[in-house]
Amino acid sequence: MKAILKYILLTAARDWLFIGLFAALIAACGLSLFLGSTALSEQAAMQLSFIAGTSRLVLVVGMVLFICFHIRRSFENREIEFLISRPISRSSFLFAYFFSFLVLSLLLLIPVMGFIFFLFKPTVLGFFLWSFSVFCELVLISTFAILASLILRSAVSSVLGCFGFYMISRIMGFAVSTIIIPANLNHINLNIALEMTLKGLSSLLPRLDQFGQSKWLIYGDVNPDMLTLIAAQSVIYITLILLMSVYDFNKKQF
Amino acid sequence: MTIATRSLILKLSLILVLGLQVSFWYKTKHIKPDMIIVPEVPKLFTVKLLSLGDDQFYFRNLAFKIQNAGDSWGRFTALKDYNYEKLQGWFFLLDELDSKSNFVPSLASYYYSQTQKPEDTVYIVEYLREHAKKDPRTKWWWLSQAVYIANHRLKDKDLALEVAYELAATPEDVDMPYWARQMPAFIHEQRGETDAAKNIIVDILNNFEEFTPGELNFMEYFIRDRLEDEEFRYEVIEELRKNAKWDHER
Repeated sequence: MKAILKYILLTAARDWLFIGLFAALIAACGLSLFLGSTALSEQAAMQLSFIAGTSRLVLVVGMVLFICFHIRRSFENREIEFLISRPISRSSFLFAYFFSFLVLSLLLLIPVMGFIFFLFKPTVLGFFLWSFSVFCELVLISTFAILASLILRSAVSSVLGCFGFYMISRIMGFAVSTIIIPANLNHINLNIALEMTLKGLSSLLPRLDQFGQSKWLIYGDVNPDMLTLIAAQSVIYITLILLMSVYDFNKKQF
Repeated sequence: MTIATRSLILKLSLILVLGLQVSFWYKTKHIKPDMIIVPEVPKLFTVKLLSLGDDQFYFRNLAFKIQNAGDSWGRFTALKDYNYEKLQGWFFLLDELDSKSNFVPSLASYYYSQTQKPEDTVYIVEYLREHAKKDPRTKWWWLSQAVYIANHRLKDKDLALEVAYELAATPEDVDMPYWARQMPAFIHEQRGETDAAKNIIVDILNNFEEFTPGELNFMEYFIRDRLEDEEFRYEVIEELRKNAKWDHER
């Protein structure tokens, strides 16, 4: 476990993940501070919202790109074959990978959290919920990136798959609200098919639309139940993807 | 074909295609992006979809876009050229995303109300009235701005009075300065309706308990100098004395 964690962190440093992502984060924060300062009023709220939104996107994109390209390259260079030739089960290997990406997500998120906390001083509960939900979102998308890289044979298709999954998950609330529109509203059978499709799709995808909302940082009015909702969704979905990954990895022929 | 000939054909083809590209640019250079001043107002459905779950982030983006509408890409547009009906649509749409923020009402009342076409400010007044209705306890300030805009920019005293009464009807337990509750009196005074103005002041004196010396001085000044009613002034001060709300020593 420790060796794989070290290996992932070294690979991340070798691939300039830290430098690249920190440069992107500094650019995003700088631009957000500049644009927010030109607002007619509520400059701090504007800056905070821009920083929270853009840094979340930068981190998600960075993690997906790194994981997909790292895993596909490891398969192509036969690094994975070498690693699993060691006395470690495939499941343990995958869990070690998952844990490493979890640590990596935390390492990348901490500077953003520090920047937001010291510069804007949001309410503790709002700040905690935002940070926790963004961390869960990063871990969830990282786990999905592991699965996509294991299933799909190309890094590019894995990345595109992850982005598609992320986008659909972020509009899941919208899909759910569309389901409640009566199917026979227009007396068209197509609506029933649409309803069934949306129901099926929404039951299989996570509610990422409830995660990382910048209003928690700005107004601090947080419903404590959100914490339970986010934790429950993360635990359920991350476990589901991990089990799917283990199942697929165990069946893989080298 | 020799290598030299092939190379020459390649070079000539390169020059020809480059020339074609330059000609294409020359013929298409007049096609420019549609630099509309106020963009079309999208449906709430679309906006919610595009917000990807973070309404606040998208709200700030759109609010910023509306702040800079017409003044982007090196353009500077006079406010008289803006379509205020569309602008009002944007204000209402943004309120659907976040009605708690004071960014949009401040943009409307401090910036867009400065238009060179005062008749357009009716859209601002309508918006501010609707915005304040969402939470009269915290949004009364925007009603006072609506009164000001209706009275001084739009010069529609009837509308100003209507909004002033809405402002004065803010629940009594709201910590609001007395000048806001006296707003209908000021408009009545400007309309020459001194009796109505007096009634407003008396009503405030009878229904509220605590006044600062500054507020009482202002009411006295308003009655004495602006309503020019010396007799009434004494009536009011007697009333204050009786209710122990007036202290000459202060």
